[in-house]
Amino acid sequence: MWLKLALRNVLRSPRRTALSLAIIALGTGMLFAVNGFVRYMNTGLMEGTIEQYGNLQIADADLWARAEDRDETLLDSARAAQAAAWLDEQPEVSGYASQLTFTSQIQRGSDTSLLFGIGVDPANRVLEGFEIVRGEDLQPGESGTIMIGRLLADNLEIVPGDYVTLLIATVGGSFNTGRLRVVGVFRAFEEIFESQFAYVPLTTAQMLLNTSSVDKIVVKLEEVDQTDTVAAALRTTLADSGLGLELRTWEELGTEYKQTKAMFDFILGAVSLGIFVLVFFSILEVLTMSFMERMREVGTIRAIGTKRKHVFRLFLTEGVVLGLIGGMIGIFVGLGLGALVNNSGVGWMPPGSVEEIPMLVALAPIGAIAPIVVAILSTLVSAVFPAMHASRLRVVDALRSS
Amino acid sequence: MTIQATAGPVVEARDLVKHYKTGGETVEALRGVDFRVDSGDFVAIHGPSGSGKTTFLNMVGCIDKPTSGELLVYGQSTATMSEGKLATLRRDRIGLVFQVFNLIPVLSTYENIEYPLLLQGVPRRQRQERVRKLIEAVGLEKEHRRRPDKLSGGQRQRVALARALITETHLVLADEPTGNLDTETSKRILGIMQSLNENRDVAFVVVTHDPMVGGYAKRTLEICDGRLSRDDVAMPADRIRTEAS
Ligand SMILES: Nc1ncnc2c1ncn2[C@@H]1O[C@H](COP(=O)(O)OP(=O)(O)OP(=O)(O)O)[C@@H](O)[C@H]1O
Ligand SMILES: [Mg+2]
Repeated sequence: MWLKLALRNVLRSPRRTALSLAIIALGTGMLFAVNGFVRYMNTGLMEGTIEQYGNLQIADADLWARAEDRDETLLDSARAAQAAAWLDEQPEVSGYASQLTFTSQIQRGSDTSLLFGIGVDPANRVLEGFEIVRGEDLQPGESGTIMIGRLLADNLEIVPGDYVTLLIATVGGSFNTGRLRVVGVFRAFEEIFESQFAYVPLTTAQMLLNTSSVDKIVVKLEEVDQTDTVAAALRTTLADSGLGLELRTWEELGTEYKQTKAMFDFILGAVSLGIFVLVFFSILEVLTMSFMERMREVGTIRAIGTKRKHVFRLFLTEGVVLGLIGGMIGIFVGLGLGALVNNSGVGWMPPGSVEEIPMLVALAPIGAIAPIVVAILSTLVSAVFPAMHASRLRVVDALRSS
Repeated sequence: MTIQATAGPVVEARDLVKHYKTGGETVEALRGVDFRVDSGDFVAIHGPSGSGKTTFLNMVGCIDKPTSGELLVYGQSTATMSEGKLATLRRDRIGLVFQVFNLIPVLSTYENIEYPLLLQGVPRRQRQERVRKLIEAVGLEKEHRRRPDKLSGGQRQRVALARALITETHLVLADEPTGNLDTETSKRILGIMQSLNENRDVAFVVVTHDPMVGGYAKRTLEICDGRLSRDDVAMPADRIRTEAS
């Protein structure tokens, strides 16, 4: 009965209702679109980060602690084999590969630059965190080759086929140099990778560092959301083994991801709050007006025996009905807004990125939940005051009002 | 659910006093009223504007509390009742009719009359049957789907009357029920009241300016400056006879 009454009351002044619905729908729609944009960005960010780092990495605790003594941070073949055996037992693991990372100076003519090298097995590339823009990828079986980031290549004016010299300290601490042939130039998800990183074959890295060890194992999983469970299981295994191994997840490794996601979440929160406040005040105004006009009616229904709580419920229901209908319309408004943005070809530059990417909005149904909740919540809260007022009216006073 | 007429008086008021405080002034709207309505009574209360008629009816109808004095409705003292209890009492045992009809604008004739039964939680079947019968009794079969704004004043007042009676109460309080109606329509409404009073044993208390109402009542009282001044028992021969229409 209260729902029927509420619905009819909502419909009784079409212009006012249309206005409130428009406000709610617009707010919800905007929120839906912003939400979709943030979701799209976060998904992209996540995928990019995982392509760069893998879902997890296993290494000696000293490596994560950035120990000075290089020797202490390495995994000899026994420890690497043990870690591999554990990974083989995890059905969620879709692939893993050993890496040997190093710090060096890259020299080309008289120019030098800091270079973080990553030794990878060209035959077992579990990560695709780069895209070749010039030349070609490292080839299995080849050594003495290097693939560098695009910004670095531009800075040092290097093209595929050129030779560069790496200046490096071996594991034992002695000085070493290597002359390597540049086979390719890549672009990556994060700017720092393009300006300071390079890939070399694992065997070349081992030669430069004068070791037969590796220093980390990167692990790729079937699904992103398996990361936490697999990480938890492996952490226990690693801790129990006493081999001094520790793992890091992509979220811990990708600092860019954390910062950017925090920024997006902040934007989303601020927009949500703004829309909440906007809807709250508009609907408060509308419901208060509607309440003032219906004082006598409230007096009447109370006089003939309607309880206070029912009057309260009636006004609250009116608010919720408005919020719900407005919210639903808002989803369509949001879909429209999103489609508009997606087709507009507007681009933008995410922080830490190399180039502008198209601005897109993910319009998944799941993104509709939060905006509708905000719409309903804000109308509900704004309905509370008129509802309280109405239910607390003294019957005689309400009846005397005109 | 039929409420049995109780053996004692339907309403009994002793020394009712009501003061309103507005700003610094106190208005003495009722200055000690003794009053009694028995089952099957039809009381008309006349009085000039501002004499306290509405105030008096509000006390009896339990929608406002007296400053002092005692009020028994169906033998129950209302002084200590909670707001919730009073609402239930109004819902189940008191019918109210207003000068300006006070129907719920978003509900049809049928739904306005049904409303008190919904508050009571009466099952659908029973509601339908009772509302149909009463709509027939007040002659609004053709108008049962219309909303109040599509009804004439007389039709609206018949809806209001039916709404007051749907709970099968034995007490209807009416504040200027003919105040917004022309003479012919007034007669019709009063005629319906009279027949309900006689055939269904419903007690009516009608406060009004309208001298015509007195002709339909069994008793006529005068209220002046917050005091009830005269208590006449109308002779049966004085009463106007109308066919229930
Ligand atoms: N809620 C209220 N607050 C303050 N004063 C009131 C209130 N209700 C009534 N009064 C005052 O009490 C007195 C009696 O009012 P009441 O409405 O009972 O008179 P009435 O006989 O019904 O008049 P009318 O014929 O004009 O309807 C008046 O002086 C009125 O101003
Ligand atoms: Mg009055």
